[in-house]
Amino acid sequence: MTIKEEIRDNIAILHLKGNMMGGPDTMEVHEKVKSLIGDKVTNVVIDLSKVKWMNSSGLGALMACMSSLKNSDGQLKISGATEKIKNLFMITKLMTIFNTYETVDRAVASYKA
Amino acid sequence: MSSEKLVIPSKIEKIEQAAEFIEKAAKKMKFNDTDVDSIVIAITEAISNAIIHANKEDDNKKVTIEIFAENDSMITQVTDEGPGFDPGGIDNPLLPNNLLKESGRGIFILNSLLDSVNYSFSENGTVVTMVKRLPRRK
Repeated sequence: MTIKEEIRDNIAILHLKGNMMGGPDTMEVHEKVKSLIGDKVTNVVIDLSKVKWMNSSGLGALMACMSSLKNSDGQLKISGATEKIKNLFMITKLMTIFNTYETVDRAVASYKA
Repeated sequence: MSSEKLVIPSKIEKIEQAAEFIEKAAKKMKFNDTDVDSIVIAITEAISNAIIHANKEDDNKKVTIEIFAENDSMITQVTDEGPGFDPGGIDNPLLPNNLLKESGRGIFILNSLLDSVNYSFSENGTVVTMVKRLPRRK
């Protein structure tokens, strides 16, 4: 999996590409978020539009990111989740926990609302 | 009944190779895209458990994945070399106290996405047998 970072108005956007199915690269997302928090960037959008498969390890990584950001008075927003990832959020009831948006632009705009 | 087999060392990096193997087998059986995704996600949960929890990521220990195509069913067996576990002892991840936890959803996802999941324990390891049936044609 690859992670591409973009900063817009002190909001970090992490564009993920590949699979989130465990291993070091899945947890690298959390490391990236912790590094952003270290630089006082605590509003983060994770763009999942190019993630092909996610399993419970990927969900765990997203939960870890959300917890770290909340503990730093920040917020995680998720954009571009595909139908199969939304289905995973539904069956695990995480759809009620995550703030999800169809596009990165809408997720970014929601911080300003 | 046809069958295909993949043996991988207990390295989590190998899960992508296993995912592609499962995807190919499910597509060959003409499952629709949604079911192919469910099959890949569910079976990689079983493989991930085998690598991490059963074989403790010891790459001298193997995980064997065997897929059998039988009439309208894809039967997958994942075999590890671990000591086994109590499937009934897993907490429900949907309970409010568990919802925010970072782990503990694998077995639940496995059970949710497939038609049946059975565990067989022996001194040599655990065999997880998982079945996904093709939707009935009208």
